[in-house]
Amino acid sequence: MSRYYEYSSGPGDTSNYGSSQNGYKPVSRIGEIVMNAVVDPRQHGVAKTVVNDTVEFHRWATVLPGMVTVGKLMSTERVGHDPVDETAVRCIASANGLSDKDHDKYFFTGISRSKSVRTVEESTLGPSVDEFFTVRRTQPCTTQVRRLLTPRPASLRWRSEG
Amino acid sequence: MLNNGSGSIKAGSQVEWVFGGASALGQHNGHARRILVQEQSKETDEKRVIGRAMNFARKGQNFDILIRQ
Repeated sequence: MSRYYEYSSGPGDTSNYGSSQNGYKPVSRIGEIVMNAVVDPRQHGVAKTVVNDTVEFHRWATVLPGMVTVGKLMSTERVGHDPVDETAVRCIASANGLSDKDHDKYFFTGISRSKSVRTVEESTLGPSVDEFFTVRRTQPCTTQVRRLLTPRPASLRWRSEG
Repeated sequence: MLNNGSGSIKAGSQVEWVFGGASALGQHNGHARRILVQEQSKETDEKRVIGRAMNFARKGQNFDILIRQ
C-alpha cells in the first residue's frame, strides 16, 4: 500500500531518518501555499524620511529568499484599478525609516521564496517595472540563508550586509 | 530562514517580526535595513507572530519555521 502523505511527527517517528538529534527534518514543498508579491515602490518615500536611514531604491526594493515581507494596512496609496493588485500582494522587505512605533500600520504578508533584484538604473531613473516574486504564506519554511545580501551601490558586485 | 534578530530563538517558540527600535534608525545609512525576526516579546500581543520555530537558532543562524495561517 502506498503512502499518500509524508511528514515528520517527531523523534519517535520511525520514518525520521534525517535528524536523530532534534527530531525534525525539513519537509517537502508539497502543500506549500504561495502567493505572488511585488515590492510597492510608493512606500520608498518612507525610507527617505529619517536622516541617516535613507537608502537607494534598488537596494531597498531588492528581495532575496528568506526575507520577511510586510504590507501596509489601509493604504491610501493603493490604486484601485492597478492590475497588479489583482494578481499580487504589495509589500515591502526593508524597514528603513520605520521603527517599532509603526508596527500597527503593517501586516505580515509572507516570507519570500524567490528573488527580485532591482537594477541600479531604477535608483536614478525611477522604478521601471513591477518585478514579481513569490512569498510563502503558510506551511513550513525551510529556506536556508547564508547572509542577507544587498547590491553594492557603485557596482553590481555583491557585498555582505552583515 | 535567518535569525537576524538580536537574540536566540528557541525551538517551539513563537516568532514575530519587528522593524527594530528607535535606536535602529540612523544606524544603516545607505544600507537596506531588513525586517527582523525574534521570539514573541509579549504574551498578549500576537498580532506580529508569523509562526513557530522548529529548531533552535542563535543570532545569525538558520532555523526552520512553521508559518502561522
